[in-house]
Order: sequence, then structure tokens, then C-alpha cells
Amino acid sequence: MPASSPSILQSLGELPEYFQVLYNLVARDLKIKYQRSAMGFLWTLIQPAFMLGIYVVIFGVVLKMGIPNFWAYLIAGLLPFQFLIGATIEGARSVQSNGNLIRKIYFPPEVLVIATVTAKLIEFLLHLAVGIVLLILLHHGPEVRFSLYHALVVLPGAILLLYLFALGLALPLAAWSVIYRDLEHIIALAMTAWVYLTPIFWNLGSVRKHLGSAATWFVLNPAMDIIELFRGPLYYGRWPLNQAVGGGPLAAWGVAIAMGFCFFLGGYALFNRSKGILAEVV
Amino acid sequence: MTQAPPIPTAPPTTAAPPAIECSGVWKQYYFYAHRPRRLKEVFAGGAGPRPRITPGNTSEPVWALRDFHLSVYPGQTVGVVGNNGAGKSTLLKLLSRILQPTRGQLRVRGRTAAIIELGAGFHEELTAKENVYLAGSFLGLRKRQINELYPQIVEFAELGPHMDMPVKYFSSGMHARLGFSIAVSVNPDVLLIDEVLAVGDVGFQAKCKDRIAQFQQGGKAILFVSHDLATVKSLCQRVLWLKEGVTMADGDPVTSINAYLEHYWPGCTKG
Repeated sequence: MPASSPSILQSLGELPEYFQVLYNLVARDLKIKYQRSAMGFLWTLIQPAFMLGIYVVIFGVVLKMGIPNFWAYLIAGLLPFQFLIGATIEGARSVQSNGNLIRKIYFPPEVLVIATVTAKLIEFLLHLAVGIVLLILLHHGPEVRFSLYHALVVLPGAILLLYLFALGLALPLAAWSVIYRDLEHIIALAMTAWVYLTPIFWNLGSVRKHLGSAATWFVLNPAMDIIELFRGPLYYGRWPLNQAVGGGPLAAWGVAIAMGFCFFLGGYALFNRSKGILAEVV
Repeated sequence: MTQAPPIPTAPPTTAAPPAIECSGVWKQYYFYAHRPRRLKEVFAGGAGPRPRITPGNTSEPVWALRDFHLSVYPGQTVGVVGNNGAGKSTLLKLLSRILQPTRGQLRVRGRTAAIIELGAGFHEELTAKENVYLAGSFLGLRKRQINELYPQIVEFAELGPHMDMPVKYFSSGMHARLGFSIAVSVNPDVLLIDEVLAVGDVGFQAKCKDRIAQFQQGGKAILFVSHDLATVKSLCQRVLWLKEGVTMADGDPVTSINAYLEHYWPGCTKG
């Protein structure tokens, strides 16, 4: 097999040449999904709104989680996590399902993964915009409220880190899914478990008395700190805090930045190790 | 059948470096080196060498290409013939960078357009027009450049009235027309063609051969893989015969093709 894998720098250097391919693949993804259905892009809003409604009823009304404005708490945490799930699952499939392309034309296969994750990101940004409008209109509590100022400062960085983190997961999983077909099923299960292991429907602060010092282990959940970046401004109306170790905004950003970049660079390096054989295995 | 235009036989008088250069290229497919594995085998088996799959009972590893050497100079058209599985498509896929060689060096100088399979890069749900832009971007074109090339692509393909139709409703001939038109529109320095003229009708085949002749006169390097030996003879100045990844003959078209035919059907070229 190929003697050497390209380095991340070599790979990143080659990518600008394929910007037009990336653009066309993203447009293709979105077009095929929505163009020829009567309600078009509305579907991308209906599905998460429907899920949110169900979760609000189950966890907020029936199970009574004791979180004020539970719907707002869900918007702030679940929307970014749904992007993460969608981007990981669909990104992991992207090389496999575009086998007909990489068997016949040369281009860096990571473009497929990046395109899929980017298409998901665009959907997420739409969801987020609608969510923010709802938060501005309705989220005014005595303890918690939405803050547009904090959101405008925090969200660009938070979205970038979430995007890099999702790419870091999707890239190696996409390559391994080509080689190990069982992986696709394992990913779907793992993502389901991950939603419940991350404080999305519950609040780490309020279960801390049950968990005791074990709550500190949540610092190892790489998704948590990135989600917390969203929840700070969107739900609490303040700077993001690190919930696991009780740290302030600096700790929150530090962990999130470390997770985002480490996962992206590590994931890309792992992808590069298998890159050369994808066209003949897929 | 269009006559091959008179082209000086290479290597040319100019000191131009070869457009295609292969030296000591070996290719073994991943499948033959690594058995497809399931996760449970990874956990159960752990490290260590993986069993090799070999056809039949031979312990001989399967090589798609063995110690392959080739230089093609600008202006040369080289035909590649051989039975199925001889390594012809592997060669083109290596040259177009889709595959990586197991050992050895390959080099292609200049812009390369590979027609490995017509319609490659098409998406069935998109319209023909949208597919031109998608396929064009794979060939390294910007949107602006495709805008400029678009009229001539449509004209060459003769698909004017059908460009807004999703290509899933296209016939295989229409696919072929569109794919060939896109590939030749980029004016490549090196053209790799794999058995693609067979799908089009007689009129379109003639048109494609005319276009190939233009490329030859324009000093392009062309590698032409085909089972249509008459076309190979008429288009190429040099023919390579591959058998199980090994070069059996390389030289004058008639000599190579006769050697190929005689090998499998002794006496067929006599009388």
C-alpha cells in the first residue's frame, strides 16, 4: 500500500483547488434534499421543531426536570447536538455513498466529508436563527434570559469550534466505515447514548449532589464544553462557564478550543492514513 | 473511419520531457493484500500479518501491474490492448491519481483529463446543466470558466433541448455524449481514454475521433485503451499489449496487435 500518507499541511494545501467542487457538492446535497419537494426548505425546520415539541412534553411536562423555561434550555443545547449527530452520522457515510465518484475521478476524498458536514452546518444555522428569534421573543425569566450581546460575541467562535469538532469525528469515521462496514451501525448507537451522557435534557449542576465528585469526569466529555458555549449566552444570558470543574469563561473556552482543534487535527491525520486506499476499497 | 493524421513518430525532435512517465510501477490491489475484515476479527485477531487471499490454490500474489515502464511524449498516441483483467484500466486509474502505486514512480506533466467512464461525476437527480457544472468543477474549472465553455459543450453533445432534464432520464448514449463533451472541452495536455467510444452512435463516434485527431495535431499526449482493434490501429502510432500486468509487446501498432491476436488465436492473422 502507499508508502507514505500525506501530512495535514499537504492536504490542507491541496484543498483550495477543490473549493468549487466543495461548493457544488454542498449545493447538490441541499438541492436534492429540498428542491423537488413541495415544501422545500420548510422541512428542515419542521423536523427539529417536531422533535423539540416531543422532548418538551416528555421531559419538561411529564418528567418535570425542574429547569425553568425548559424549552429554551433544549433549544440552546439540543440544536447544536442535533447538528453534531447529523454531521457525524451522515459525514461517516459520505465516502461510502459517493463511491461511484471516487472510483472514477481523482479529488481529495475528504472533500466529500467536508461537503456533507457543511451542508448540515447550513441547516443548523437556519435552525439556530429560528431558535434565536423564539428566544428573543419568549425567553425572559426571573433567573435566566437570552442575551443578544453575549450571543453575538460567543456564537461565531462556538459555531466554528463545533464545526471543527464535527469534522474531526466525521473524517476518520468516514474512512473506517469504508473498510469496516459494521461501523455505521455502531455510530448510530453511540450517538444515541451520547445524547443522554451529555447534559442536554438534564443539568449537570442540579444532579451534582447525586454524582458528587464524579461530575468532574464530565470534563472528559468533549461535546459538553462546546455545547456549553451555546448555552451560556442563549439560555443563561451570560458568558459560558465550565460546568464540570466549575471554572469560568476562560476554562470553558480553553477546553472547548482544545477539544475542537485536537479532534479536527487528530481526525484529519487518522483520515489521511487510510486516504490512499479509499478509491479501491469503497 | 477517420484516417489518422500524419504525425511525426516520437520521440520528437524537441527535447520535451515525456508527458507520461512510469518507471518500475507495481500495483497490488488492497483486496488482495488485505482480506476484507469485520470488526470482530479485528478484536479477536489482534495484530499480526493478515491472511492473504489468492485465487485458486496458488500462493502467487496477484499483481495488477508488474514492473511497468512507459514514456509517452507530447504528440504521441499510445494504444493499450489486452484481455479483461490485464491491467489496462488500472494503468489509467494510476495515471489519473485515483489509485496509488504499490511501488514505483509515475509522473504526468500538464493538465490531465481522464475519461475512465463516461458520466463519471454525474449525479442522476441533477439536470444535465447542473451536472456540467458539477463535472466541470471536478476537472478543476471555476464557475466562470464553465460559463464560457458551456455553449460549446452543449453544441458538441447536441443535447441543447435536454439540458434542463435530470440525467436519470437520459439514455446511455446521451450520458456518453455529455461526458465526452465535458472531458474534451477543458483542452487537456494529457488525455486518458478508456473504452468510451463504443456507446455513442456512428455519427458521434466519428465526431469523437475527429476531436481526438485535433488533439493529436495539437501535440497532446493520448493514452487510448480499447478492445476495438481497428480503431486502435487507425488512431495510435504505438501500441502496448498487456497480459496479467506485464508488458508483452510495445511498438508498432500492427506488430503489437498481431502478436496479441496470435497469442490467443494462433494463425488468425495469417492468410
